[in-house]
Amino acid sequence: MTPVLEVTDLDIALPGGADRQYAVSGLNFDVHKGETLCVIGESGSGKSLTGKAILRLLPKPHVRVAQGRILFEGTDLVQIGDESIRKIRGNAISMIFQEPMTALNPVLTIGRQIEEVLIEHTRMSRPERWKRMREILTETNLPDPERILNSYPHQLSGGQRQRAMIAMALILEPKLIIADEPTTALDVTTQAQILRLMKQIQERHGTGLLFITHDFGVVSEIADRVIVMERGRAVESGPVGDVLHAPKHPYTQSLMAAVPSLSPKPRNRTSGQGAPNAPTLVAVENVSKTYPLMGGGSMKAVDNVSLRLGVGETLGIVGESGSGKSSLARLLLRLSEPDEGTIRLDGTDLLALNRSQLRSKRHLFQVVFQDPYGSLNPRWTVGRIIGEGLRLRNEPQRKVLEKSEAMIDLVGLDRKALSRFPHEFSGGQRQRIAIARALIMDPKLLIADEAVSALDVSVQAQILELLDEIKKRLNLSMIFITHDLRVAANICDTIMVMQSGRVVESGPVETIFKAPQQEYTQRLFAAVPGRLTTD
Amino acid sequence: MVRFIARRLIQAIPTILMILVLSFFLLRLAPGDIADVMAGESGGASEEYVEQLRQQFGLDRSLFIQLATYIKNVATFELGYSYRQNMAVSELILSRVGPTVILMLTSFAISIVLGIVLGIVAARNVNRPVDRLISLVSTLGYATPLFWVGLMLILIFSITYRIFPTSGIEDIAAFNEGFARVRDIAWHLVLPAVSLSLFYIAVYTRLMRSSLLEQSKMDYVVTAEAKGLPRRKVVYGHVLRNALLPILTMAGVQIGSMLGGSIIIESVFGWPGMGLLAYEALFARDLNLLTGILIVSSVMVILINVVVDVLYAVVDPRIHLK
Repeated sequence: MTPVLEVTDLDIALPGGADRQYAVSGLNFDVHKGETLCVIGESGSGKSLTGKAILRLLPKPHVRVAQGRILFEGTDLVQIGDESIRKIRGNAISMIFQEPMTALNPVLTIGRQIEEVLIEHTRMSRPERWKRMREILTETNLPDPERILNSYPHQLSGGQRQRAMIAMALILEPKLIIADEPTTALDVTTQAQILRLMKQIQERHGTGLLFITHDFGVVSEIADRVIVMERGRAVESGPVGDVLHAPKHPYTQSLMAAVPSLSPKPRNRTSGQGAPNAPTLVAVENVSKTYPLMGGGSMKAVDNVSLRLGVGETLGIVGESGSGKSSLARLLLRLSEPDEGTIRLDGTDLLALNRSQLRSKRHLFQVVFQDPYGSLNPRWTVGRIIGEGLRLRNEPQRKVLEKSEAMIDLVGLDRKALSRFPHEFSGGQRQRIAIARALIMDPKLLIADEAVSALDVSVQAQILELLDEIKKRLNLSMIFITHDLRVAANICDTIMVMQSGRVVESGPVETIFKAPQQEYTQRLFAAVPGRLTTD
Repeated sequence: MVRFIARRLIQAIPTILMILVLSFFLLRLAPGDIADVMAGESGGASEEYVEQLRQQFGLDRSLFIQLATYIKNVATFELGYSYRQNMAVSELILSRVGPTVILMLTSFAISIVLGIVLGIVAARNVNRPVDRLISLVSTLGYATPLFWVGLMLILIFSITYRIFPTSGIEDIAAFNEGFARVRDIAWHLVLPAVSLSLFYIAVYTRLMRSSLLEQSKMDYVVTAEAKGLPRRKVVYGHVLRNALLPILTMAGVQIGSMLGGSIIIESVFGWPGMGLLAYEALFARDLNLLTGILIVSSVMVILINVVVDVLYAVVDPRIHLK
């Protein structure tokens, strides 16, 4: 049987001045009816450009297909005219993107945006179109289709938006769907639902699915076959079982090894670091924070939370978006004031301090944020960024420099980095800079708010290792906020699970991971993709 | 929506009061008053006559009593009396509002339409010669002072080529009526409206160009293309709507500052609007009239800003008025 899509010898050229001449080179693959092909790779591997090249959506005019054929049902999509490819887009081949919030137009209703596909490709009357739209929304399990159709993107949840995107992609029953990281921006439980939905729909309609992802867990859930891409080349391909269980290429092996395991690392908790009887560093009692909502009402972001953190211990706070984990972190850093409760750090009542007292204590608790692009001032040199905290405390310039160099060494960067600017570094290197900036203040507590979530797995593994090592060397206590249970298992001693501002469950990492007591925690674990195949 | 508008109008009251108090004191910081001017014009009046004038106009009383009287009057929509022109301030302003509104609306329409069109042309031909030309011209429009543009237009189109009249709103001697009068006014309107709008054409062009370019990099544009929409629908149906949002913000700012610009343009072209009236009042030290004009203009600006805010919520569903 001929495949729906057949890509041969595909080269995608990058503009001059890029880090390589071809984003993708010599790529071959095919997708059959009713089959899911996963393209997996890290950022910069060329996987997204491959998906865009099929529908000729490459950023013009700089990035272009230099060579190769993309045969769709026998037609070479590289060669056909603009009008012909336009008739295929959204009709015979459709696409789903990563972030449904930005992929949908914010000022048009969902209904209007889906309807455009029907207006463009069919001669349906308006009532026919709306009937079809209601049907397809029902098929993607969206409740109350009428309301969804009349809503704007910002009025829906992340999961609902992505279901609407899927409905839009599916409405003309395409032969092929290209899904570019469609679940990466979603919470695990939502991700699990969306993956299940895509699988069902694909089986029902016999659609070919080209699924682009960076996540081996997702691959194991959805793929029939896999291609592993590294710097524009396919290094390995084959049936999902073979690639996941017996990867042949060293790159695939290293990628798989970098995926943190869901079972906690064995820890020596009876002595030294993270021992249960370590002296208390942070004691939080019954803190709450309520925010007023737009249009009246209020939301309890943090609801009566208590926690204890020992010296040298790492506490993981896990939960989905909106669970209050980042709000809690802001309270601990006293970036916002709790409505009630007490926070003690090293015996000091943080909430009782006035502004200048607080400023003299600020160095004791430092933070590393999620986005290494947004959290470093792009106009400052790395040296100035790292040294700022010390300079604010009027340390002599020589000492600032010495200490900055020591920190840059500690996080494994070259000292030349101090005179360079943030944009010259990769995501992982920037996160190292952010860590150096935090550690130069000699903190006792380091709060990492999703500090590894924006990184590729191999980089993520390196940063986790670095944090673990630093923590041991400096006897640092850490609060590690993450939505990723694998990451939590890798680095935490104790775990606190949060949902809608409340603590659902907490305890030593082994206990929670082996036998979660609460139904919500169990659901979180069940939703982690690929937990059966990779552990 | 209604509640929003009501609240904004109530909030405007302290703003207007502050403008009133500030302008009252600031204007009185300048040396000289209307009594000096009138005495001077009568040709060497005696000290007693000036004092008598002051007494008559209430200028001999303390500033605070004058202010209190003034506020009380304004609260009852009474803007005082212009001793200079021997007319109630409100009547004077009312007779001059029309020409200013005509001038402003015309300039506003010209600048926003041309600015958007030129911005779209520039953005769709980015870095091509057309775009470069538009950028160059708009930079010139940006940098040229308003009064100079007015004078140059008069020099070229009225004096050298005699296409448009030099000043005024209509040909008084012609006694036009009906359509002929409208045409005559329109003919007089061309030069002042064009000079007043040049700067804003440049502002809108640049704003529109950068806003369009920024929006066309957004993810939803790729989605729209992946749906199979033709380029035209992607640009006009998706990108343009989002790109117009900053234009709306600018429009609110423009109308406010155009009131200021109209003082210059109306003086240059002898356009009998509020701007010219303000200019005359300033040199006659006719402070009652001047304060009245300031208050009416601030009320206009505040009302326009409320309208812009409401429009914003209509265009952008993410904005909620409360």
